[in-house]
Amino acid sequence: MNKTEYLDTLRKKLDGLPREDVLHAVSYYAEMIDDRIEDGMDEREAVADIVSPEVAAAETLRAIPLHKLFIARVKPKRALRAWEILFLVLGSPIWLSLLLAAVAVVLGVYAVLWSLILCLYAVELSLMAAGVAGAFLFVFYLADQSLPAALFVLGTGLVSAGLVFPMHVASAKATKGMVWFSKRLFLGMKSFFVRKRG
Amino acid sequence: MDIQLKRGLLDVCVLAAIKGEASYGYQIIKDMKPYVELSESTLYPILRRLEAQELLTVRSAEHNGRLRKYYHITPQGLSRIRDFKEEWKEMLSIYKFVVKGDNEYEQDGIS
Repeated sequence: MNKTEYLDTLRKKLDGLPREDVLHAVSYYAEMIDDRIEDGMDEREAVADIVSPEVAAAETLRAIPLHKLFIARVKPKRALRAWEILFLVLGSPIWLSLLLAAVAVVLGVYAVLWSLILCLYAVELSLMAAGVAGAFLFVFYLADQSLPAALFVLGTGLVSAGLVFPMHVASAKATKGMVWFSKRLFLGMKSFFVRKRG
Repeated sequence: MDIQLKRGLLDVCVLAAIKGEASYGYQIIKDMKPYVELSESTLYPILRRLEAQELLTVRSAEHNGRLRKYYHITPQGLSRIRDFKEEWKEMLSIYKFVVKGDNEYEQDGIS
């Protein structure tokens, strides 16, 4: 891949983003290639030495705040005509509710997922409490001379306590996964602005 | 390493790379290479963030018939480095406490 092909690919991958951000990123990577050439590499070597256009595009996207992408997307490219404004206002009960519903669905899914994580920690806490209660009740039943009941609560308590550690590992992994998912979701939402207009 | 911590460290590293004199992207990467490997795609959002926070400014200057962007540190950028040094002193003293009693090599490595 030569410099022109690299920059064209990058430009295509950033299509739909605010114009100044595309120009900014393209000139940055062009400069990176030129500086390598000046450093003694030939053009193809210089291009091969830097990150792929896909990685460059993903990092560029990460650098632009979501609200900026949203504003760039919804901002009209020309002044709205009177009938368009009227249409927007009259249609607002429909499009505004649909937009709010879409936002609510995304937030809802997100809240449900985090609630599941919270549930895992709640279960972990319950197991811990069951372990402690098992030990306490064991002494209580033993004092009451009910040996089968004492052994039963001791067994239950031990099993619960034993499950705390694997449960904690699972909760920690799930939390990590959720953080990763959140980042992907955020980047995915940003990618939406690239693809749709590209 | 914690992502937020690494992000903060890289920000200060980039500021340190331009604190003496203004520099450009490729030179910053080369200067940092002996200490930390940084790709141009990682540097890009850092430079944009630092510019948005007014810790550096960007000026284009002609170089060999083309424009090259030079990054200049601002007084706020210098102040960020100073703050980092102060914060790091505290971190080092915590580290020394943590490794106290461990083998000598670890303690020597940081002192």
